[in-house]
Amino acid sequence: MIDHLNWTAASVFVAFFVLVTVMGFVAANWKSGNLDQLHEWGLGGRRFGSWITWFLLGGDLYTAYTVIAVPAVVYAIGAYGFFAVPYTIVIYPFIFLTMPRLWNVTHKKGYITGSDFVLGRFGNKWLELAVALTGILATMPYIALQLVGMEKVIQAMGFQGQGLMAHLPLTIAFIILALYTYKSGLRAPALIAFVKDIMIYIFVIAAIIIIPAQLGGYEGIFEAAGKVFDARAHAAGGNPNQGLLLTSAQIAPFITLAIGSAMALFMYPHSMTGVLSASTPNAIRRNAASLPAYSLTLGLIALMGYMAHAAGIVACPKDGSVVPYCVTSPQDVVPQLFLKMFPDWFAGFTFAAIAIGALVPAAVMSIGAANTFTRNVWRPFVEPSMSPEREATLAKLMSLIVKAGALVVIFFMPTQFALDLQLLGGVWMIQVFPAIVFGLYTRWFSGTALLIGWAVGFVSGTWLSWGATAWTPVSTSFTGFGAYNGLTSLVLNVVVAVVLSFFFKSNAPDETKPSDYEDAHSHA
Amino acid sequence: MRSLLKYLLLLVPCVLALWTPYYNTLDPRLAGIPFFYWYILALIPGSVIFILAAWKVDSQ
Repeated sequence: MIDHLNWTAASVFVAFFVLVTVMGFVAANWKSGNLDQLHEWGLGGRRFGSWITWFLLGGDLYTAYTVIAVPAVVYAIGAYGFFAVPYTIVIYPFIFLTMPRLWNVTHKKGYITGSDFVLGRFGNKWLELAVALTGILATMPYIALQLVGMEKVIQAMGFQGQGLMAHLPLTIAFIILALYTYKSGLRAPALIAFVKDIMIYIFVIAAIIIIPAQLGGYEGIFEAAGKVFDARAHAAGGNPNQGLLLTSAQIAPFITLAIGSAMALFMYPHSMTGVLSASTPNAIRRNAASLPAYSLTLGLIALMGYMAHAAGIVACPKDGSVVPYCVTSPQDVVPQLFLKMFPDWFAGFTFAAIAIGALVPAAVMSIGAANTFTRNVWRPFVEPSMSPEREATLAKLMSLIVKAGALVVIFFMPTQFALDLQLLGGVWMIQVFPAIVFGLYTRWFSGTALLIGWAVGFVSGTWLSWGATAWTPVSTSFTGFGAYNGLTSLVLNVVVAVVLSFFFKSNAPDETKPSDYEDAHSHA
Repeated sequence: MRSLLKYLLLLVPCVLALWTPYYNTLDPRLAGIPFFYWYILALIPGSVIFILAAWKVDSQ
């Protein structure tokens, strides 16, 4: 099990893991509040200023899975993997515009989740339920993928095991995470995010300076990657779907994936949790202007896919012969690159950064899902008169259940299952966009129309993604060109919601008023 | 008028980021990096300038 363990890397890894564990438990007393209240446990008492929000949102959105998966796609097919960069560019103007409005109304009305807002605005508890369940359903596989990211680095340190034993380190890490999240709530990932983000910045800066210096500069790196793609295209009979540039067939999917992913991201409960825990709307605006620093980091991390080609990291031979630093899956590219290019202690540092990079979003995601379940599924449908203490107790319990569910997925289902669900999760999540974002500006839509639109989008998006051999994010049905299914189905959703709003005039009460969405004068 | 300017300022970086056919090219390179890559990376700090400008317009 540990015969091939890289002891130096593993020691550094464990040391950092112990550090953040202590921080996770100590966080309960940070900016202290009554953790028996849901808005204290689940939103940090809405007391996070610009800096804390910056680290928390950065740690929450740019996850371990991103660090593993984006360079993996770039390594495998090239430019197409860079859709993540325009995606994270268009997101911040959108946040700047809409999220202060959401913060204002949730702050004034005491809402904890996006579904709380939808209920208050449209007075339709079935729409509220649809928004809540979509969020929970889309979040579960997202947490599971964080575990995939963590497991990749644990394997890279030489840990091997059979059957359930293979997941032992991951299980231990997750139980510890579950315990301090239970105790400290959102304060735990907020405090740990400082360590995680600083570690990620350190390893990225080291990588973009030291790796090119050893591999003939960026010119050499792009040249080497270009040669690999050319050779593969040649071997495949010259019909490339990969390369340093997008093929003409990839352009429309590239653009629509960037737009659709950006629209979906802030509909996820964990993104909203990060935004709503800010202390003022201006803290959100400051973050919209400063979070792009993480996008730059992401772009540089994406380049590691090409650095791996220049470093000679190749696929492991199918016959089982031993090649040092080879990868059995493109997702092993970043760990192998660091093992090859850096001393063991620094590889261990990088692996710790990636693993802690999984803990922060996993904690926030489980809290976001737990808040949503408690507020928008359990309270309205099972136990309408819950005390604030009872809400907090239930949410803490739910955060444990959600994490256990993610572990079960990793234990008993193939990784591909989590990947497919995550892909569908984005397609589903974007369907709540009209209810939440349009709802921030107008009450013209009726709740019933939005609910039917959501259902149409959900079903059509799932149907479009169903392929003969695998689930795919892009299809040519309806549009004639390759388009992201989330965006195509959202168009159907909006058309249905608009048309039906003419027929279903909703008399349900709207408990918000226009001034609730504007900054209070003290913040202006 | 001022709010129109705000929306326009926020729209510019989105259009620049999504106008993919126009930046899907290798040349001109910068320090050996193909245009596609350095353009999209340079646009990240560029987008911040537009967001700050929109904020300035909005708070006046």
